Amino acid sequence: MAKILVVEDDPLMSRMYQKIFTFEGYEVIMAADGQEGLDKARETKPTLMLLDVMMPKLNGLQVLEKLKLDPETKGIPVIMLTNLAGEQDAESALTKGAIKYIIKSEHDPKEVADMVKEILAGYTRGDIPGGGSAPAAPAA
Amino acid sequence: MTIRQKILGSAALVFLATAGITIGATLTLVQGEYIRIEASNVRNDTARAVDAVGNRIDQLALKIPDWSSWDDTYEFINDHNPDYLESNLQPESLQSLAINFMLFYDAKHKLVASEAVNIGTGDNIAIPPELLKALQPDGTLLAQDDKDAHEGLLATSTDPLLVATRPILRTDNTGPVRGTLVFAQYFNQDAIARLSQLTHLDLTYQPVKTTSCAKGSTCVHTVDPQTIIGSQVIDDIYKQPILEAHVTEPRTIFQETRRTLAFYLAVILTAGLISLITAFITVNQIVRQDRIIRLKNEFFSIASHELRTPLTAIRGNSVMLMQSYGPKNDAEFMAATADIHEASVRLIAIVNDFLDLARLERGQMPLQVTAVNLKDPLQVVVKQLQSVATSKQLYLKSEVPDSLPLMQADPERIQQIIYNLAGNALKFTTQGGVTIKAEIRGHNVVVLVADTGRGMTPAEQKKLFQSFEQSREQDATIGSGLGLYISKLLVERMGGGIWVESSEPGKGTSLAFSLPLDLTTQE
Repeated sequence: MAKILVVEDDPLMSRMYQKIFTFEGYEVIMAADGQEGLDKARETKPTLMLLDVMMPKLNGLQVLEKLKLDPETKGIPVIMLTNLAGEQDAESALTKGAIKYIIKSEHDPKEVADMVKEILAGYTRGDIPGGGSAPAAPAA
Repeated sequence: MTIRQKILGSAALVFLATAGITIGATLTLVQGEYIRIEASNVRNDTARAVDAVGNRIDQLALKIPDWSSWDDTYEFINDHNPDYLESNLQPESLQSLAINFMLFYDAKHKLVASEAVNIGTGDNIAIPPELLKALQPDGTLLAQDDKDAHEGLLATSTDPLLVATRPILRTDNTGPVRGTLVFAQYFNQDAIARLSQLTHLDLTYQPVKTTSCAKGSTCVHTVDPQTIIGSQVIDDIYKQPILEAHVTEPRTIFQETRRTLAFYLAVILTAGLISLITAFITVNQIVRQDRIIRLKNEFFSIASHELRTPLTAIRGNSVMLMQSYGPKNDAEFMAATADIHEASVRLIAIVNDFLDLARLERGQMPLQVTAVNLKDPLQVVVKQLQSVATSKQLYLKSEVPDSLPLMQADPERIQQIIYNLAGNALKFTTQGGVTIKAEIRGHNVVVLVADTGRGMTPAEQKKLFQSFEQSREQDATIGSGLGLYISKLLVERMGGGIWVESSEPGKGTSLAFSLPLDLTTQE
C-alpha cells in the first residue's frame, strides 16, 4: 500500500488531507512541522510527500533541500502545498526537486487525491519527472 | 527622510529661492532705480544752489550801471567834486543798494573815492585788503575799455565777497572810459540764510578742500540712510575754485521706497508662509489618506489570506461529505451540506476579489502576458456560466469571428474579466440574455458584453466601475461588488480600457473593454 506523508501545520488542512487519502485507500502519516516531517520521511520512507511551504521550525523549502541532499530520501516525490502568498516560494521549490505545487485554496481534496493518483501511476511506470516540471494549471 | 519631509522641504526650498530672487531683484531693480532718481534730484538741487550764487552776483552787477553809466559820476572822476560825494556816497545809499563796498577808480587805476559800510547798522567798516589787492593797477579787474566788465566771487580772510566791476561811462554809455566802478558785498551767513529761504534748500558753502568734487561736476554723497549730500565747486572771479556748495537733503524717496519694499516683502513672506502651512496641512492629509489606503490594503491582504485556509477546509470537507462520506439517503443532510458548500464557494470568491483588489491597488498583481486567442478564455467562461443562464432561462452566446487576430494579454485575467462582465450581465437580466462579441478598432481588440437587462441611468453608469458599488435594488447576493472595479484595474494594467458602450433604462446595457492586438503575430 502506498504511504503518503502529509507535512502540514494547520490541523484543519492536515485532517482534511488525512481523511481523503485514507478514504482513497492510502496509508497516511501526519507531521505537524518541518522537523517532524523530515524525521518521519527518513524513518518511514513514504511513497510520496505533501509538503507545506510555510511552517514553523523548518519551512517546506528547507525540508525539501535536506531531503534532496540525503541519498535515503532524495528519491521520494514531493508535492509542495502552498497558499497564494507562498506561490513564488513554491515555484522556486520546483527547481529544487519538487515535482509539483498545489495552491491549497484552489483545489478540492478530491482533486488533490486525483493528482496524487496520477503521479503515483506514473511513478510505478518509472517516469516520475525528476523536478522542474511545469506547475499545475491553477483551477479556473 | 519621510515623504512628508521631502515634500515640505522642497516646497520650503522653492519658496525661499523664489523669495530670495524676488527680494534680490526688487532691491537691485526697484531700489536701485529710486536711488538713481534720488541722486538725480540731489544733483538738480545742488545745481540750483550754485545757480543761486550766480544769481546773487548777477543782481549785484545789475545795480552798477545806474552809477557807472552816469554823467555825474563821469564828471566826478575828473573833477573830484565833493558835492557828488556828499549827495550820493552816504552810508544810506549803500544800505539801500544792499552792498558793503563802493569803490571809484580813475582811468589810471587810481582809487579816487570809496565807501564801506555795514549794511545792517550803517557803520563804516574796513575795506578788506584782498579786495584792494585785486583792484591794484596790475590786476585784470579794472576796466581797459568800455566793454571791460567783471563780476564774481573773491576770497577774503573772512567771508568771500561778491564783486562786480563796470567801466565808468557817460549816461548814454559812450566813452572814452574814465575809470572803473566797483560794487562788493559780503557773501556771509545772512546772505546764505536768505538763499536757503529762497531756494527751500538746506544750503552751506564751504571752502574748497582737496577732497572736493572735481571741477564742473556734481557729487552725491550718501551720509547715512537718512541723509544725502550733493556738492559742487563754485569758481571765483578768476575762474579758480573758491567755494563748495553743499545741499543736505533728507532721503525721503529712499525711506519711502524702503517702507514700500518692507511692506511688499512682508506680503510675500506672509503669502509664502500661508502657502507652506496650507501645503503642510494638505501633505498631512494626503499622507494620512495614503496610510489609510495602505493599511486597508494590508488588512485586506492579511485577512483574506487568513480566511482562505479555514474556508478551504469548509469547502473541502463539505465536498467530501457530498461526494464520499455523507449519508446519501439523507436528503435534508445533503441539502444542508450543499448550502454549506455553496456558502464557502461564494466566500472564497469574495476573499479572492479582496486579494485581487489589494494586489492590484498595490501594483503587485503578477501578469503572464502572452498572445491570446480570445476564443479560448471565452469558451471557458461560457461553459462556467451556462448553468447560471439556463437556470434563469436566459441565453448566453458568443459571436466572435474565427478570423479575430490574437491579442496581448494574460489569458487567465481575460477569463476573469469576461466572467465578471458576463456574470454581472446575467445577474441583472431577467429576459432575453447575454451576447459576447468582439471586433477590431485601431490597434485594439474590443470585446463587447451586451445584455437585454434593465439598463442603467447615466448616474448609475458613472458609478459602475468604482469600488464597492453595486445596484442595491437588485439581487446582490453574489459577489463582493468589486468585480467590475477589479476588471477595470486588470484591463488598465494590461494596457486597455473599459467603458459603457451603450445603456438605456429598459433597453439593456453593452459594456466594452479593449486590449492591445498582438502585433508580433501580425503581418
